[in-house]
Amino acid sequence: MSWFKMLARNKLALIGLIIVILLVLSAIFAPLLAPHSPSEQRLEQALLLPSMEFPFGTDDLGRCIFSRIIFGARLSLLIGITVTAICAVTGVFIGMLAGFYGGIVDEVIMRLVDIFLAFPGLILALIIAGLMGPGMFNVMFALALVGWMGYARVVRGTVLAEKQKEFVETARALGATDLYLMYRHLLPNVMAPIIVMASVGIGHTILAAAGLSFLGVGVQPPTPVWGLMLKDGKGFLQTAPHLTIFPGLAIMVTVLAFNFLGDGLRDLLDPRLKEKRIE
Amino acid sequence: MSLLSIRNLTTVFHAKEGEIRACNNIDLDIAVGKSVGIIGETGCGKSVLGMSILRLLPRNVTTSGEIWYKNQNLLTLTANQLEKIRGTEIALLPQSPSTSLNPVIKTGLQITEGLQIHRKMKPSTARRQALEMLRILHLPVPEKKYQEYPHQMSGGMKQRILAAISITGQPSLLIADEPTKGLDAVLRAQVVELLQQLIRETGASLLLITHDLKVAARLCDEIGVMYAGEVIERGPAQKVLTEPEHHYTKGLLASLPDMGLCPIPGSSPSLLNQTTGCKFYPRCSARQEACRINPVPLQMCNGCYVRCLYSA
Amino acid sequence: MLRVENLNKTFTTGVFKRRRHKAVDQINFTIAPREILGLVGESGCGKSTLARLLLNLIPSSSGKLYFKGQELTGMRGRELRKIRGKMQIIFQHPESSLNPRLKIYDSLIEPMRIQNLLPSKTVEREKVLDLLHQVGLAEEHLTRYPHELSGGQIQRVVLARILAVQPEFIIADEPTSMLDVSVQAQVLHLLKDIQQKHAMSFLFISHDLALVQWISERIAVMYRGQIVEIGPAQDLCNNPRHPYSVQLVETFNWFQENKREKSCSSETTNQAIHAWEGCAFAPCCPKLSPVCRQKPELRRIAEKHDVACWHA
Repeated sequence: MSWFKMLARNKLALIGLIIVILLVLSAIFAPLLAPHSPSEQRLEQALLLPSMEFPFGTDDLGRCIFSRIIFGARLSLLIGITVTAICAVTGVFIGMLAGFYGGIVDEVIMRLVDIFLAFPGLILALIIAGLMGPGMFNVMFALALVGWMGYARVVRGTVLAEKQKEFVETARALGATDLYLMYRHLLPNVMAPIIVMASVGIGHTILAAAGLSFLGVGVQPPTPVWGLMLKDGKGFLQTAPHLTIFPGLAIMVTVLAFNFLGDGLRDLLDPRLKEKRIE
Repeated sequence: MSLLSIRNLTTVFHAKEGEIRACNNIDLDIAVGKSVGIIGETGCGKSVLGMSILRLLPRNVTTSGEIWYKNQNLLTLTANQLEKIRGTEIALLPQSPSTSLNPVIKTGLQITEGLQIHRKMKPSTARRQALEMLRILHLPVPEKKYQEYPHQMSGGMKQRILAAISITGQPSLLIADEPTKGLDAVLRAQVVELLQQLIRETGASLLLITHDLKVAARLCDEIGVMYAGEVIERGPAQKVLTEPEHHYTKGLLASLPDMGLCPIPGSSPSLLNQTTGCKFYPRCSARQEACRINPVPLQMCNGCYVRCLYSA
Repeated sequence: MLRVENLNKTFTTGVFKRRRHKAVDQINFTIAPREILGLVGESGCGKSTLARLLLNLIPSSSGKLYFKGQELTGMRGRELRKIRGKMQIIFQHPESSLNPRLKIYDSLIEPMRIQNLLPSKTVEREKVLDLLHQVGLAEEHLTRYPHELSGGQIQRVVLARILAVQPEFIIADEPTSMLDVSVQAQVLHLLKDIQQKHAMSFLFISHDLALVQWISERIAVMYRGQIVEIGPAQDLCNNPRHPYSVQLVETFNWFQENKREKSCSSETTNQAIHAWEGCAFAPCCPKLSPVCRQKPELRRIAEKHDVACWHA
C-alpha cells in the first residue's frame, strides 16, 4: 500500500502505471473488448472515418482499426516485455561477472560490449532479422541481441562501486562464497537502476519492434501489429490519415507510459530516499 | 562591537512526523575579529545554525528571530541583497576538500574566478593576487600549483585552495562547518594552522562549527555548546573547556579519550516533539524533578551563560 | 593467536605497472590470546591495508601469516571460509557497514547462515534478541533499516553480527572515528567489556593515541608501512623512543600550540621521501644524521619494547 502511495504522489508515474495496467488488461481481454474481428475484411466498408460502429474507422481492406489496435497490444507487449526481460537478465549476469571478478574477465567482457555497441543497434537488428527471415521470433532474437549491453554496463559500474563497500567485505570476512555475495548483497543493490532501465526499455523495444515491422522485416501480415499498421497506412496518408494516426498514437502513448513509470520507479526503489534525515 | 548578533533564532523543519526544531531560541554574538566556536554532537542543530545565517536551507523550513549583520537583518533581505552578502561579506569554508573543487578546472582559475566576480579585477591583476594569496597560505611553489588540477594535489593543499577561494571576496565573517571531520591528528593540526593563518591575514571573524573540542580550544575566543537545538552553555573558551558549568559539557569533556573516556549514558534526544523542561534531563546525573517540567532559561553563572537550574 | 612474519604488500599503478607503492613493508608481530594490541599511525600509513591482509581479504605480496598455528597465506576455498568465522573485522564507516537493503534482523542472522550456525526457527529469534541485548540494543531496532539508525547504533549491530559467529580474534579498524565523543566512549566500553567476557584477542587500529592507550595493553606505531615502535602501552606512551612516536604523543595539546607538529607536513616531504633510501622517517626527523641513510631494523631496547631507530 505504501508503495502505491509513494508512486501516486508522482502524478506522471501514476498516469504511466494506469495506462500500462489498461494496456495489459486490454491485451489479455482483447477478444472481449474488440467490437469486431481484427482480420475480418469488409471491402465495401474500406477507409471509413471513425464512427459509432468503428471507433477508429476502417483500413483499406475494411478492417476495424480499433479492434486491430487492441489485438496489436498483445504482440507489442509480448515482444516488449520478453525481449527486455531477456536483455536485462543477460545484461545483469554478464555485467555482474565483469564487475565482480574484474581483471582479465572484465577486460574481455567489456571489449565484447564495446564491439556490440559500435554497431548502430536498430540497423544491426535489421540486418539480423533480414538474414534470418521475417517472423516474430527472429525479430525478438535480433532485438535481444542488440539490447543487453546497456544493462551490462550499468550493472558492472554499480557492482564495481558496491563491492568496495564494507558490508561486502564483512560478508566475505564471514566466509561467504562468491555466489552468495553476488546473489545476496550485490544483486539487490543493482536492481533499482535495472528495473528503471527495463521499464523504459520496454517502451524502446516496442518502438524498435514497430520500426522493424514498418520496414517489413518484422511480424508478417495479416497479424495485427502497430508497426505493420503504420506501414500499410502510409499509402493513404493524405486521403485517410486515421490509418496511421491511431496506431501511431498507440505506440506513442505506450512508450510514454513506460517512460513515466520508469521515472517514478527510480524514486520509489531507493529506501534511503523515502525520508530525508536532518542533521 | 559585534559583527553578527543572532537573537531568538528558531529554525523549524516541517516533516511528515511533525515539527523538528533544529535551532531553538538561539542568541549569539560574534565580535569583530573574534572567533566563536559552536560545539555539539551529530544532530544537535549546529550545522543548521550555520546554514540559517546564510539562508541556505530548503524551503520546508521556517526561520524566525533576527540575525543582525552590520545593521541589516539577514532574515528580511531579498534574494538579490543576500546574493551580495554571500561570498563578499560572509563566506563559507566547505567541509570536504575532495568534492568541493571543480575537478576539470585548474585550481588557479578557480581562485581568480572569485576575484573577478567579487572584486571586479582584471584577469592579470587577479592572477597576481591569487599567487599572492597562495604564497600567504604557505602553498609550496605557488606558480606551479596555480597550473595544477585538483586531483594532482594532496588533501591539505586542496584545503588551502578552498581557503583561498573563500577569502577572495574579502569577507568579514568566515563560517567553517566541521573542517576537521574524519581527519587524523596530523591533518587536523594542519587545518587548525590554516584557519589561524586565515583569520590572522584577513582580520575576519570566524564562526567555527565543530564536534572537536580540541580544535575549538585552539581556535576560538568564545564557545557555545549546543544540545538538542539549544545553546546550553556559552562563554570564554578557556572557561567553558576547563571549568564547565553545565552537566552536558562536563560529560562531553569526560568522554574524551585523554580525560578518562567516561561515556554519557543514553543518547541524544530526537528534535521531534520536544519536552518543555531541560533537554538533557534523561541523561543527567544531577537531575531533579523540577528539571523535567520547568523551562530552563540561559542564566549568567560564573562568567558563563548556562542553561541549567542547578549549576554551581 | 596470530603471528605475522615479514608481511609485505606492494601496489602497482600506472599503465605499465611501473609505479610501485609499498603499502605494508616487512611487518612482524604477534598477538597473544586475550590480548588487545593497538595500532596507531596517520591516515595512509597502511593500517587498513594491513587489516585486510590479516584477514586474507586481499592477497599479500610476500610473507607469512599464522592463525592458531595454521598458515593462512595461500589458503583457499572451504578451508579458508571455515576459518574466517574465527577472525572478524569492524570497519570505520557506519554508513556502509551494513547492506542498506536488509533489515537489521536479516543482517543479524546472516553471519550464522553463512557459517552454517543457524539454529532452528524457534530459537532463532531468541538468539538474535540475545545478541542484541549483549550490545545494548532493543527489540524495536530489529525491523529497522540501517539508514534509520545512528552511527553508534550501527556499530553496535556490527558488533552483534560478529558475536553471532563467536570469533576468537577481532580487528577493529577505526571503529569509532566517525562517532561523536560521548558515543565513542560508550562503544569503546562495550568493546572492552565484550572482549573480556568472551576472552577474545583484538587488534585495535586508530589514529588517536589516547584511545589506543586506553584500550590496549600493547601498542604498535606504524609509519609509512612499517612498524617503527612496538611495546607495552604505558611504557610507550610515557617514554616513547622513536622520534615519530614522540611526535604522536606530543601532538595536540589543549590550548597551546605545539611546535613539532608543523615540522613535517606531508606535502613538503613527499618528493624527498621517494628519493630517500633508509629510514622512512628520516626526512622529517629532528634527530637526522648520516647513519639514517641505512634502514634501521626493529631492535629490543627494553622488556618487550622494540624500536626501529638508530638513535633510540
